[in-house]
This record gives sequence, C-alpha cells and structure tokens, in this order.
Amino acid sequence: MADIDPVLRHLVERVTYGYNHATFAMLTAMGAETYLQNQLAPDTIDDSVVDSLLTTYFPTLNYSNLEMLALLQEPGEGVKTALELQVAKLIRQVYSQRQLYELMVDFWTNHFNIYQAESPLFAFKTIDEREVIRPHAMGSFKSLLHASAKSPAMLFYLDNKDNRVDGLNENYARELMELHTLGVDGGYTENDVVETARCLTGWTIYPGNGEFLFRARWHDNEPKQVMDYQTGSNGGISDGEGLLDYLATHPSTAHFICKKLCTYFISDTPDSAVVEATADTFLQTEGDITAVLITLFMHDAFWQSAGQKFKRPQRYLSSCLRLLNATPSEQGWGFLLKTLGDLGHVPYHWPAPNGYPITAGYWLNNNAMLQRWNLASVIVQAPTSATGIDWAAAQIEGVEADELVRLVKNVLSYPLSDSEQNAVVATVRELFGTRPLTAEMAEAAARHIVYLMLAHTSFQNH
Amino acid sequence: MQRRQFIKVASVGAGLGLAQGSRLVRASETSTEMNTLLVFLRGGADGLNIVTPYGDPDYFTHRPDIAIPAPGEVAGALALDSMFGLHPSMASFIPLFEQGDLAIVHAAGGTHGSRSHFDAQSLMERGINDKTGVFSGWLGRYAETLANAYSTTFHQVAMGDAISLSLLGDAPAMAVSSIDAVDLILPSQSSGILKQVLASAYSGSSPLAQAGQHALMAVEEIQAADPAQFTPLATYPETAFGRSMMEAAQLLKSSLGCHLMTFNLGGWDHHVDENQQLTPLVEELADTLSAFHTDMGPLINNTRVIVVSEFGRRVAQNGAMGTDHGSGNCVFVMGGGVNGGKVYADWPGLSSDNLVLGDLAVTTDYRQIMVECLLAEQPNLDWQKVFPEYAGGSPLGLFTA
Repeated sequence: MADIDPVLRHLVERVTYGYNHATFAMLTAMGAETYLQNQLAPDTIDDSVVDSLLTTYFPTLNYSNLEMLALLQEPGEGVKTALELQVAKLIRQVYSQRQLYELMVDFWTNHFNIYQAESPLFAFKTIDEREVIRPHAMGSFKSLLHASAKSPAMLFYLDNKDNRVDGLNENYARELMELHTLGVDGGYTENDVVETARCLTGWTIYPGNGEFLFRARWHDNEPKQVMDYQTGSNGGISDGEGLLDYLATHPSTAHFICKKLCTYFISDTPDSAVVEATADTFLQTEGDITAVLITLFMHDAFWQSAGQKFKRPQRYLSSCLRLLNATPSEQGWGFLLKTLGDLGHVPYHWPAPNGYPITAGYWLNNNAMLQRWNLASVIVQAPTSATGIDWAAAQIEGVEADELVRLVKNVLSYPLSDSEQNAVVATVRELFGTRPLTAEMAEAAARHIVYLMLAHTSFQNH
Repeated sequence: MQRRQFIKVASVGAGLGLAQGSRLVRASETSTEMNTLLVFLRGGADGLNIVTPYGDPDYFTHRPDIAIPAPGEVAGALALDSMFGLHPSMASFIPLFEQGDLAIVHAAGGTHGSRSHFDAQSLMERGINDKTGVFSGWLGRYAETLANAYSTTFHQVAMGDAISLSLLGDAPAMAVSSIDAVDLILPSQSSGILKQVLASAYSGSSPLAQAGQHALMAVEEIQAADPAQFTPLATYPETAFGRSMMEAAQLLKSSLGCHLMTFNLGGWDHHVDENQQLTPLVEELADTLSAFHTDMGPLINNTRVIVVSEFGRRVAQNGAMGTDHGSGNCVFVMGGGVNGGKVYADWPGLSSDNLVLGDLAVTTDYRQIMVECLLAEQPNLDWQKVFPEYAGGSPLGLFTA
C-alpha cells in the first residue's frame, strides 16, 4: 500500500482524536480541504449513530434541572450521573464523526473548568455541558461566556450564587477575568475584581428548580467601574450583562483565548504571528470561534507543526482505541476510565478552575510514560470480549514475522518507519522464532507488535 | 534562645570562577545528607484560623461569625503562647511543638502582592517575585548544589502524578504517584527483550527519550530497593495525602537515596462555609505530619518538613461564612534541628490601619525560612543562586547550627 501522505496524517492528528483506517480512507477520497470544511461545520455532519447510542444508554445526559434535583435526593444517583457524563465524553472522542467539534468541546470544558466530583455538581455539570459548552463550542464566544456566567454549575462551583450586596464573594469575579477572559496580565487590578463582583451580585440559583435566578434585592445598585466599563445606578442585571459583553470583546481576551487555542492546536510555544492573526480575527468578528479556527488552520504555523504536541492521556487512550477500532464492553469502559485515573486525566476531575494543562511540561515525566506503557499492555492483553478488538484481522496461519508486521501495519494504517519496522520484526523473531507462525502464535505476536507500536516514541506525539 | 548571626558568605562559585549556571559541588562530603520536604497547601490556606492570633482583639472584630474561639472557651484554640493558639483539631501537633520539633512562622509569605492562585503558586514554587524570572523551582536549584542530585535516580521525588514546579531544575526529578505504580506491566512474553526494545526506542536526549529512560531506571531501582518492606510505625490518615507521606517515609528509609521531596494537599480555597471545610483538613494535616514524625524515628533528626500555602486569606470574613484571597500566612517547620516550641512572628496587628488591602501584612519573606533551612545543611551555600531575587532579611534563628 502507498505510504500515508504526511500532510494528511498531520491534519488527522490535529483535527481528530487519532488516525485510523476509515478516517484516512475518507480523507483521501474527499481531500484535506473538503474534510476540514466539513469539520468546521459540524451541524452538517450526521452523528446520529453516536447520539442515539448515548440517548439509549445514558438517559441522564438529557435530564432537566428539575429532574436532576430529584435525582440528587437518591443516594448514589449523583455519582452514577457523573460517571455517565465521563464515559459519554470518552465515547464521543473515539466515535463521533464531528471530531473537531469534540476537540472544541474539550477545549472549552477545560477553559470554563468545573470540578464535577461533589454534589450537586455531579448532576449540574451534565446540564452545563449540554446547555453551555456544547451549543456554543464553535459559535460565539460572547454567547458562551453569558451562558457560563448563568450556569448553575458555575454559580455553584465558583460561589457566585452567594455573591450579595451585603456580603460580596469575589471568587467567580476574579476567575472570570483571570481565567475566562482577560488573562492574569489582561490589565485588571484588585479593585476591578471587587467591582466585577459588585456587578454580579444577585446572580444566583433558584433552589426551587435549580435554574439561574437574578435576585434583585441581592444586587448592588450603586454605580460601578471595571477598567473602561462603567455602570450607572439601578442597572439591575444589565450591570453584569454589559460587563460580560465588555470582557468578551476586549483585546486582552482576544489575545488570551487565541494564544490558548494556538497552544492547543499547534504547539506548546506557538509563533506570535499566528497568535496575532487569530486574535485579529477574534476582534474583527467579535469572537466568532469558527472564524478564528479558519484563520488558525490556514496559517503556515499550523502546517509546519507536525509531531510537536505530546499526547495528553485522554488523547493517548482515544488514539489507541481509534487505531485499533476498539469497541469496549461496559466493563471495558469502566476499566479504561479507572486507568485514566492512574494517568491523572479523568474527565471533569481537575479540581482548580484553570482546567487540565494543555502543554507537555505538566504531562511528560517518567510516571506518565510508565502509566501509558502499562495502559498499552492492558489493551493488548485484554480479551476481545472486553475491548472489541478484532485480533483475527491479522491472524493468518503460516506467515513469518516480517509478513505479520507488514500485515498489522496495513490493517491499522500505522505509519511505521523503516527502522521501527526492522526493530519490531527483529523483536517478533526473538520472541516467536523465525519459522512460519501457527494461528495461535500469530495472534500472540500481533498483540506484541501492537504493544510495541503503542509504546513507541512516535505514538506519543501528534 | 540563640540568635544566629546572618552572614552573607562570598559565593563559592565565584571563588572558583565557575561559569554562570554551572552546578556547585559541595567542597566536602558531610556524614549524613539531610532530607528536605516541602508540603504545599493548594488554594490559599487560612493561616488566621489555623494559628489564631487570639491575643489580638481585632481578630474577633473582623470575624464575628467564623473566628476560632479563644483558648479555654468551647471549641477553643489550643494555646501556643499568650498571643497565638492552634486550631483545636490539630491536637496531634502539640506534643511535637512542646518537644521542640515544630516551629511556626506567622505573618509570613510572598511580597509580590499577587492574589491569583496560579501566579502566587508559581512564584512561590520558583522562589521569585517577578513572573518573567527564572523558570525553575527553588528546590530544583538547591538540588543542583548537592553531589548526588544528578547521579541518584530518586534523589528528587515529587509525590504525585506530575513533577512539581518547586523541583524543576537541571537535575532530573521523579514523579511517584504511588510506590505500587512504579511498575512496568508487559505483555506476557519475555519481559527482558521488550525492556531492551523500549530502552533502545527511548535512547537519546529529547525530553520524551529522557522520560522513558527515567521510567525504566525507576522500575529497576524500586524493585531492587523494595521500599514497601518498611512497615509503617505509625497510623496515617487514610487519605491521598496521608498515603503519600506514609510512602515517603518508606522511600526515605530505603536505599534509593531520596532526599528532596514535594507533596500536595489541596482544598484550602474556603470562600464559603470555611470552618466546616477547614476542620477536617487541618486535622488531616496535623495527624499526617505527626504520624510521619513518629514513623521516621531517628531519621527525623536529619529531616525537615516545611508546610506553605500560596497566600493567606482576608482578615474580614465575607458574606458566605468564608474568606477571600489574602496575603500574610502561617508556615509550619517540623523536624530535626528545628528550634521549635515557638511561634516566630513580627506581628503587624489586625487593626484596619495595619492591614494591606484588607489583608494581614507580610513581615517575614517566606524565603527567609527556606534559606535558614538550607544553610543548616550547607553553611557555605551560596543561597542567592537558589533565591536570585532575594536580598536577605533579619535572621529568625529557626534552625540550630
């Protein structure tokens, strides 16, 4: 088979959760430009298979605030709901046709981080994902910010539900500016934090239905000033809404968000040229996320960055499962989620508001390597009933080591370099001998070949 | 109590004409290398409710609903001296304090003024005030002055999934999420051959290759040293933090050569319902450290544990029975050679005109504590290489010479 075009491979590695045979075939047929255009318009992509699977098996994904409040009264139901959201996320990352969209959902999930691991966030985070993150992930940043500020999950997580004129709580106000919009160097002062908190007094949760409520008598009605944003008296909810509009379109916000996007999609140290270009687009379009992504993907910096990102654990796992066309059983998913715990990347389990780091400095260390090698080992040793991996695809009686390695490589569309291929062949020969392999030995050998591929340096980066 | 003269010793490195950034090698080997452990309380721990200044009446004025009651009252603090009391759930610290192995420094902290968790943590781990400054950890820079830091695989250990910023430096550090996790599980056939393939795939000097090499070395060394053979001699709280210190004791007792270690305990960001959350946390902290003290036995004599947090919290309570981000804080120092049984504080007072933006002022730069700790191990240390922006301060006398 022909070698895999490195440009196509790079695109797949950045715009999906990992290459596999089917995606390559689709991409080769339609070409990179059409593929990218499709991914930038996720509403035009049919994802009904994944959607109906999730609706059937994870009903809580669609529960209303009221249903969640009721659910939280039952012991253990909150934790189950949280687990459903975690597994649903992994399933979407592996199987969704809207791969770029899922990457953006993950980006914003971490940008507007909410730690799911306590009540009522067990359940409120599900609603936040459905009504805040997913509708706006590739839309308007302003809309996303407004939705997040009124999200019961966020109001709870960062304490703004307790923010009142006679008892100010600054937690959300600070992180709104530091983490969600301007960035810590965005030009705000400690006084601006207090003034922001004043703008957002009365933004709380109505206990009766668990939804956003503006409590007018908790609101500070005096004038306020945050940087260049001023309010008059008695502005009510418009004090906060106007502030969100101001922050959403501020140049510091454009720069902060776009630098993060370039770090997420390009490299840990993105070129200032592409950061500036995307920030310009952000400002000109008042935060149109898709427009920003188009600027990003059209930039040379993106196309020159192949292999420069270290895979974070969720991506490492997703790329293994995609490559091997795995379809884990329910127990299989439970086990894989547990191993993500060992790798420190359980969905929605980063406690601090800044979200999981997106650069290698945090993720790359000796412990990380051991845990992912061990994950690879577990995947290849597990029975097909747990992983759904079709080992028989490469199981041909009577082949020798080198032919088997080529077979596995072709089945998987795995771009093994010549030197890597020779090393793997030599290893298989040492382990299984040089004579033609029996069917049983061929399967065992195939599992070892895949282990070596998943553990190799080239599979750790994307 | 003796007050040590604070002497600025001429840089050993300068004397030898070493180039910028080269590592300083100790002139002579001392008999026992010290263990220096850093525990980071993440979130801005409320020093005013942990070590309460009950002798300062403004403490109760600013916190009518959340102040810890004075010693003698119901659920009152445990008196340390006539000014300060310890949170009542930290009773296990009292014996350590009384026997002189625990000291507290109050109104301590960073002088950078940041109240951002992430900036303040970063600056404190890097030991600097200017965030455009050097991107390495103070403990990592200290490692560079120790003879075995480069050659001993487990010399620097971050207990957790990731290597803490405090340990980042020229000398490599290991992340240990648990002793059990430092294990290589290979597909069934012939592990020796597979290890060789991994070793050869990860040869080279790239960060990825180095991580792989360290992973393989870590597995070999931990298997040989078998730290789990050292059954704990105390009962630790059954929490992640408790387990991390329990395993640290095992690592320190083993032949692995660990000497610099970092730990994390999160959950201190108490904007709402502070006391309800603070009580179990301080209990966990005190019980874990006192178990560690017992467990280590004689090894505690060359072990120092420093407990810090990125900042303290506002003096006044907020509208949700909690506190917002502040400044001055308390620091615990435990172990051998500590001049304990005392609260070291240049107390600025909590009346409104003594507060800085509503916060307890910082009268002792936290770096003074670290410098005295490191000088107790290496009197000739050029500590300005460890803390490049720190100009020095009045001696506290925290450690015996």
